Amino acid sequence: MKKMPLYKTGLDLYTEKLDNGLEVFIIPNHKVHSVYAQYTTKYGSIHNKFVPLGEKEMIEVPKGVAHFLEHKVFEQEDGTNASDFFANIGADDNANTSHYRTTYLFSANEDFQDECIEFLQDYVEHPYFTDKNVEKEKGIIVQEIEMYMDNPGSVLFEGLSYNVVKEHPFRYSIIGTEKSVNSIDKDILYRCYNTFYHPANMFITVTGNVDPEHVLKNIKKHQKNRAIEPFKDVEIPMYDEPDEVFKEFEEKKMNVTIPRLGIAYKFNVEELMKKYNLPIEDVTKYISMYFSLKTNTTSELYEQLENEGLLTYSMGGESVYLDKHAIVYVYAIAKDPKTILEKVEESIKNFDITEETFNRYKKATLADLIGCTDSIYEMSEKVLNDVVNFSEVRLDYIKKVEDRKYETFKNIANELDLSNRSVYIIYPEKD
Amino acid sequence: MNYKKITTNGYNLHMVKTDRFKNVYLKISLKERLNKKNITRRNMIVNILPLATKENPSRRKMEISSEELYNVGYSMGNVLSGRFNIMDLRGSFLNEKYTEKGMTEASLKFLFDIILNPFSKDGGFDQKIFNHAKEKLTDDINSFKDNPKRYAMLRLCQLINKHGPGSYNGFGYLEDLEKLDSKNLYRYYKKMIKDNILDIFVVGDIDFKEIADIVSRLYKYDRTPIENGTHYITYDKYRKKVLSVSEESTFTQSTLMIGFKIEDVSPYERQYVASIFSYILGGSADSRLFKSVRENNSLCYSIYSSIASVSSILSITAGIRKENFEKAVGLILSEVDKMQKGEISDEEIEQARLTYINSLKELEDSPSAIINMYVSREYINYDLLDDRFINIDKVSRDDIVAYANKLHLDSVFLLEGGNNNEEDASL
Repeated sequence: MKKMPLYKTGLDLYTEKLDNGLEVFIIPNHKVHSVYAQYTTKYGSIHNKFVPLGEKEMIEVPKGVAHFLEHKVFEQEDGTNASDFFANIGADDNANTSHYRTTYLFSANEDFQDECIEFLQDYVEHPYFTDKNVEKEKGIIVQEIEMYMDNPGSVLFEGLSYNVVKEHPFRYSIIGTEKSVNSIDKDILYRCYNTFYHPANMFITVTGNVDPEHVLKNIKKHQKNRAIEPFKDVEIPMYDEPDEVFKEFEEKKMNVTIPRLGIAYKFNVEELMKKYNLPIEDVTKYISMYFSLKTNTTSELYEQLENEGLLTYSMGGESVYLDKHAIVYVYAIAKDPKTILEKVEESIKNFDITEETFNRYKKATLADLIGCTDSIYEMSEKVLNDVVNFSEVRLDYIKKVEDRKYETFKNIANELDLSNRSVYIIYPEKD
Repeated sequence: MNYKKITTNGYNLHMVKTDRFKNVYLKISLKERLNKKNITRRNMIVNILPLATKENPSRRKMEISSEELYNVGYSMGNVLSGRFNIMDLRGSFLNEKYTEKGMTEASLKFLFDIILNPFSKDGGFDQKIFNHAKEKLTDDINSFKDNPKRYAMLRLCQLINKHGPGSYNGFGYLEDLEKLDSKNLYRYYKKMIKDNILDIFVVGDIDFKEIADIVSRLYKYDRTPIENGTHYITYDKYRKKVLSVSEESTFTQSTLMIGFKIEDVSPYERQYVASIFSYILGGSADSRLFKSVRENNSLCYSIYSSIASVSSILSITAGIRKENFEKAVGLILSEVDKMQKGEISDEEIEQARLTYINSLKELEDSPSAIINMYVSREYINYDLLDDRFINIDKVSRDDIVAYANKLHLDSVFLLEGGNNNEEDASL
């Protein structure tokens, strides 16, 4: 097992890859009384076209399977639910599905770590799907879909993603649609499970008050007894995502009082990556920093919009990346979304961030990162995201932020092609 | 974990020393007896104070300064707590040992300034800031209905309490907002600072003497705190016939709310028995409601019970389709009825108890849980950690059944959805 310090955190990462391909990542924290573990498969909503394990032809499954599978994995053969086990010892458990991965997790008192880690592996590794239990889940998931349909933040993100991305399955809702969910059956579930829930495609992350040697020993013991097929990376299509967006503008009426504006910019970053010798995640971070500094509460733009009475609420954003494109989302809750849109677009074209501002923002970001190291949940998420995105944990993530350069930032921001963007506005139903 | 309380100069300073956190956490609480008109005033103040201080007279300057102070975090809120109204400032900053010397005092000054040194002009708040806050609060009040569960909960409370503190909207009222101007609001602010009951909480790897010293230098104020009182709203009259109301909406999903009045129970029941009861009924994915309504009948995705202790109300919330209303209500009431008749297994009780104990064991891991414990001790005389461990162990089946029978079904509210044309969920 390798032990490696995480730069400036005061924490160590312990990691080992087991014979069957499963990777284990442990960050002990002896200041807390709890243990948090996540068992993750690199299988998410985007993987709806793939070559199943042992086969040759590519298949396509209905949208929402990864999420449906997440619900069904909890079902036990004796009719109980995996959550019952955790509840019996007062632990919390949950699961969630995103575009690129599905994870099953628990948070428990340190006294129960052994049985919880054991059971976590157990229930995730023993699927039990029947026609009856699959049918029953449909009603529940449809209710979940309807709950999200009433959530403007959800509608905005999904609407924008569908319109800004043209080919890549990132554009589709993780949960699927009522129609697609109703077309899922147990055979589809088993096929997806058998392909993606292979230990070589999965990893376990443990944080909290644990002894790494002890945790690893128990996991190894459990994993040794599994009969495993040989694995090779799952073949999925290469999506040739074009630079242009699918749809430039969309409006929707919903039960909101104040309109919501969403803008998604898509950038082809291949040239930038080559020119500055940076991987896509770093280029995306610089771009996202630029948008943040231009639109957050420390920005001139924000102050102007507030003073002009155009923005009484908030502005925010996030960023993602696909193979060679970075996508930045900008959100605003404001009465006159079209004017906000105009002003944001105008402002973004004009680079005016000083080195002083850049350094101050860096200082604040670093303070945040140090503060987060207290949290066994934040550290677990960091490991999880790194492994899903990069297949390794980045030990020097704080150093990377320290090393960010104003010159690089300025150059990248000035070279952005802002012409590929999509806008989504949610208006109130009553005018 | 070491605790020290200092009562001085009209305020209480509560300090907790623990080496668990890299951050230092601050909470400043100002409370007064709930007066309907003051809800809107206090919400305005909470929207105004963080925007500007004398030293940083604009939002932008505040945010830039906070970044310069290694990202001091701050936020304010105002909540209704039974018969009281509590305004909070919450702040956090990295411990000085990770930043630079002098940051503890600089950060505390920044935070205290928000409450004590607002940007004022000519005996009032700055007009531009006032106008901005008014617009935001107007938008907030108008958007209250945008969240179906929040709106449905208020409607349920209003059915249970036709008048009085249990029926108020914590967001405030437009008719009250209209009557405010920057000067009369500032007058209320000055009065509030003087007479509200003030408690300051600081948690982290701190030195008691240093913190007490800094606070006493920052907080020099003439204070005449008003008399305290109970937070609790209690009932002695109960409906003979359940009140059932439904309201149309344009949401996709319907929200069902069922409300019970809780008799005036003992502190032991409030703090321990109630939690166990609610957990078993609808506090987890293993609960009676979850199993019956969601897992066995597929009628909902989200269902849970919750007890508002100071308001003496137990509520059950479920997101359903409107055609399943009667079936859902039937299933829910049947579970409550079973518990009232004593149909509770030992496993359920032990499981609930274990969950409670685990959260106690983990309490010291969370700064907000630590602060909440001392707040609840100060305000509603709840036990501290050691006594909580002792008392949760005592909760028996008889206790739970007795508590269950102190619930009186009062009202059912349905916020009807699904009144539009059913569209296929987007893509």
